[in-house]
Amino acid sequence: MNCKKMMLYLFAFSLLLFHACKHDELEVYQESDNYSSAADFVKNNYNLTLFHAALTQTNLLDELRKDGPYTVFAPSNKAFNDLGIVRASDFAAMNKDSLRTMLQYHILPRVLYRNDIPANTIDNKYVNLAAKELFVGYKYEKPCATCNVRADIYINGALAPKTTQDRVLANGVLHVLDKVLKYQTTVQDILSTKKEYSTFVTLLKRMGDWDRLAQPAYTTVFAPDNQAFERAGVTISQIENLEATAYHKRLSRAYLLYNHFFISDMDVYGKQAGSGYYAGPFYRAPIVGDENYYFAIASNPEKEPFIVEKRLINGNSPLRKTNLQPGYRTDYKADNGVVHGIVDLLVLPSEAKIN
Amino acid sequence: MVFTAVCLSSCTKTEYRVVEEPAYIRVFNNLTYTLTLDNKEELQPFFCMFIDPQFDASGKPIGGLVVGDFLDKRGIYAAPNAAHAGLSTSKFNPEYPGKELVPTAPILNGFDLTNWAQVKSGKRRFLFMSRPISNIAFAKLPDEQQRKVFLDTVIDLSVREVYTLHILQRDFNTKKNGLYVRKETFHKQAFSDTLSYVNFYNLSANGFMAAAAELKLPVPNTSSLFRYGIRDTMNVFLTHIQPSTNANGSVSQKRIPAFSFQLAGTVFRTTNDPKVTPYYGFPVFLKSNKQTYSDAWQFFQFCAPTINPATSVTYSEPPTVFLNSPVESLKGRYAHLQMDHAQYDPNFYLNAFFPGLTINAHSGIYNPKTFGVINTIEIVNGNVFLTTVQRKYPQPIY
Repeated sequence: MNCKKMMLYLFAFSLLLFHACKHDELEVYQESDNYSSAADFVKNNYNLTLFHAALTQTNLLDELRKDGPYTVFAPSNKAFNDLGIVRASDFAAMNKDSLRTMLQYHILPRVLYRNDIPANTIDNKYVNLAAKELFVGYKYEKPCATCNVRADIYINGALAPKTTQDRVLANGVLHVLDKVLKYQTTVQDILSTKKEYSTFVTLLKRMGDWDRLAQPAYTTVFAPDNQAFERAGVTISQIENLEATAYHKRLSRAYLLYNHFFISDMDVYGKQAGSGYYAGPFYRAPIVGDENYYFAIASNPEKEPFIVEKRLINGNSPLRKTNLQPGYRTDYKADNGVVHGIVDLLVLPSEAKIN
Repeated sequence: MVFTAVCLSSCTKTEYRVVEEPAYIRVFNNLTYTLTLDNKEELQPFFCMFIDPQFDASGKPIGGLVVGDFLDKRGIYAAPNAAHAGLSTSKFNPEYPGKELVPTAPILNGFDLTNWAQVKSGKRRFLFMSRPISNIAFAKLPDEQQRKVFLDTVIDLSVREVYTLHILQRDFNTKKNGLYVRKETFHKQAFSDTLSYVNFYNLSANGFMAAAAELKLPVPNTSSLFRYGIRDTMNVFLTHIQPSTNANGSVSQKRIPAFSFQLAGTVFRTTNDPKVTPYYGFPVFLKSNKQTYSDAWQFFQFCAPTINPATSVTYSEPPTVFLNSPVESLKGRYAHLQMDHAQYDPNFYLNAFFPGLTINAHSGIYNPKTFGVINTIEIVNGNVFLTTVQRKYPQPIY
């Protein structure tokens, strides 16, 4: 090959290089920056129509159009239905100020994605627009390589399911909740404003446990409703005439835990060591003032609260067990504790009588 | 020309990190509790350690002389070699320096201090920040998770001294924690090359032994007799066990009669008196005169004073571990430890077997060769931890 020919080839090759440089306009994937604001997202979501109605009613919708940032925990329509709110007009009858506070209670003045919360922890506290702390838990679990990831977040015990978490907004993020968050200042306020717990309140007053529920120390109350007393054949007059000194403390304290937790916290932390629902419960704690008896929560799906006596040979089998009320009647938050409704009594007066 | 190009490209300047006037530290996190509904107000015992921290305007630590992230609970065995270097894919560090790439201590008086880090001596502020258990570096965590102070203290480190630092629970009832700093002396003692040494500490919290058994849980699941604690004063007896193989090939473990039930010291519980306890030395029993290898192992019995395991018929004779009553009923009077490389399984956290108190390594033409080492056994709230320090040995010849 002579030199001239070689030069020719080289020239031809260099032409190819030039050709390669030419390219048409590339189409690069562009991320959408047209996210809707929190207000628009709520407005356009058929599952949040009641939440939207409530926000409109209290003029909070306009605020959610601002820059934020916000984290909105939006209760679904089903969550409102559980409380007996089925149409937008139902909000009209409510006190506008307290409804507004209640809605502000669902909104954080910051962005909180699921991954901002440490996995498998509870009690991560974030201050909301109502200047109260929300307690956030996060359960992350991937039991096997081919299993689905479980990634539930819980806000004051209300589940934000994985499928409807982390909805990105122009001014924040939205998570849909399966329950409306409930809050009052003290546990005493919660119990005294609920008519269904009036017999239980009388019992607490007679037994001398009522005052604690207004104090700052934490109490988690598993409150039996009036029907529970009726079913057990305990009348209100019996309770009213009850002499505190004639009964063991467990008569009332079986329902009072000197602790602070939501039902969902047990899902996050899992069951204790031990085999079976009752011997390996989610939680077990001695009853204050009556330490031979333990209040516990079974590790079955129903999370049955039950009571055991430690000294017995079969000390793990329940003396009595009950069930939790449905989700909308548990996880009622106060500054000094939480109230969970239960269906049946754990201790009858006849069982707690001092001989 | 090619040669010059190669020379130029391979010419990199290495900046060696030099620590002026160093002290040598090794940090262990002895807190093994997990959070439950009962103790949920406690902070997560998983740390980012700052030495001489620097803070931003909002008071959040952003750096310092040393930052050791992902400080996890310690492993039951702290090996004498650089066991963490380059082997693990996990960021979680069972000790400091452990997996951190920092200048480590030199060989001091023949002792290989590769597991100790160099830090500038003098008054140093140690800040331990509690952090969530995750793979996210401390500085990348959300802001509110970078503000949980677990321990903040100042300690004085002397030049070229060797320190072991422990994050300990000081009181079981109040859940008060603290930093326990022990100035080690093993590199200054006249130890024999042919013996192996061990000393004991009981660093359990005040009130742990006396607390109700159910409050001590959850300690990690273990068959150890230490799980409910031992008494504040315990005598330790050492029995040497020699495995032997019979004609059928089955191995039987037998104690060496002349080296059984030997008093190896007394252990006193303390969390605030970081004094080095006396080392007990024992010979390395080689398999035969012609071998450099030993498969003998050690059986420790911890007995409350006046119990003598040699004459007591209550407790099984080593190496039998049968116990005729539940562990709770011992009330901390008795516990045993089995130190055998062959039976130790690192997959079980806090199992009944520990690695032996000698080490086997390829050294010179001998493979393996058994060496005496310096051991420390620490009992902390129902857990037992073994730390081993080795000397520098001759390089293997292949």
